[in-house]
Amino acid sequence: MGAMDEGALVAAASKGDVRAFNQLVLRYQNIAFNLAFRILGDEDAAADATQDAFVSAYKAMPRFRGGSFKAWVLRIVTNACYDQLRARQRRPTNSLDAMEGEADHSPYLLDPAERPDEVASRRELDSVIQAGILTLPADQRSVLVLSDLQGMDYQEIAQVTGLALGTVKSRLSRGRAKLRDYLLAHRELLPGQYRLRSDR
Amino acid sequence: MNWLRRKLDRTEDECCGERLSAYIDRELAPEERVALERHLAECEDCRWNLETLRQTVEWTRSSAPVRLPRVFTLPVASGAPQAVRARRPAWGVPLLQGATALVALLFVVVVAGDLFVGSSEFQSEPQMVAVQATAAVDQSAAVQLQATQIVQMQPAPTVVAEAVEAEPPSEPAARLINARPDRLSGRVAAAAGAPASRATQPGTATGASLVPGAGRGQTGTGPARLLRHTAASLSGLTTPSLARARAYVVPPRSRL
Repeated sequence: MGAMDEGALVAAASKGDVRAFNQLVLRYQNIAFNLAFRILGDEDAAADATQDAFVSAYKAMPRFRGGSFKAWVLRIVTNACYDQLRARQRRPTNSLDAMEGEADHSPYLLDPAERPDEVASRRELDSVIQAGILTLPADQRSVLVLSDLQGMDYQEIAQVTGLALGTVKSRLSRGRAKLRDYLLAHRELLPGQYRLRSDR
Repeated sequence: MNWLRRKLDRTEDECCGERLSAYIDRELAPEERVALERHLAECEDCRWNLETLRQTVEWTRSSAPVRLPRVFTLPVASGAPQAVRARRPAWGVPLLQGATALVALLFVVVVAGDLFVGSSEFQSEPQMVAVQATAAVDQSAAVQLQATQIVQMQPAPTVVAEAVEAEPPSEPAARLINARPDRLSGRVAAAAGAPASRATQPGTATGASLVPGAGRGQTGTGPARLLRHTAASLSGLTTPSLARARAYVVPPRSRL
């Protein structure tokens, strides 16, 4: 089963094979959860959205019409995140405050090659960047995460989001500019070596 | 260099627009890229914009990935992904439906049994007797009446005996009991007359001797304990509340 290519797994999963679908889950759960976490900024909410998305994807497998399975799944994940954001707007929570309060807990993976001081600086930068991402409007946020954190090109982002290429380009441009402005406005939070060069 | 003043003086939207972002991603057509590079050579603001944007993108791209809190595979055995999330309420619907049907069935059985008992009890007497008795009896008499009906519906003589023990019958209650000896079982009537001795004497012809576990105070079996609690609860009610409770329990035929 593990050696099956993606097309065979998708075909088997479309017929209700849970094991085949789980092989696909194992392939994409990292990218799905990271996407959800960057959009939602909360581990628990991201885990819920990711699980919801995979359950929805399994149910919808018979209706999958081919193309990029990755883009299809990530679109479901993005929609699950939007559902969470809408629910959060109805019931505001202070998840960002809670995240900042857990100083000793970091959800980010560590690079074993980095020295401890580099790890600390990297964590600080990651936290400020994530806080900046969360200030973006949801439509810009998802496009920026797909591009700059998931490494997708414009065409893939258009597939995931269902947007036109021009819309992807403009939303990404505006999102990056706002994130840049956020980093400049909060430059005192950035580690010393991570100051925007033009601001020195 | 004051970046804020720069932003106020001239935003990138006014000049290069979204071309800077696309330029960073190498998504510009060749002629657009050449034109933009020509412009950048002349425009300091756009060079600043490009530089800071590029730095922002680099930092974002170098941001560490997040570790997975768990795996998200679906349960294979059930084959039903709905079961993954316990907080989904779908499973609860059939359970609640079943519980509702069970409660409705029990209600019908109780009401039907009560009707049957009530009809057989008042068959040979005018309903006026029951009305008189209901109006006349005080709290303990009403308890006994309820207990009598319960006894006739499901024989559990020990309960009656203990209900009688809880509070000796008053005058009207005694009259009711004595006036209707044919309706009350002999054991119950006997228990009402000499409650303490009969209920605690094993081997006598009281209800206590007929039920396993009876005669041991509060250690009766399940149904017996339930009935005993019911009788005890009714005995604690005041007369108006008892009348209300009775209105729920007594079948319409025996009401006014």
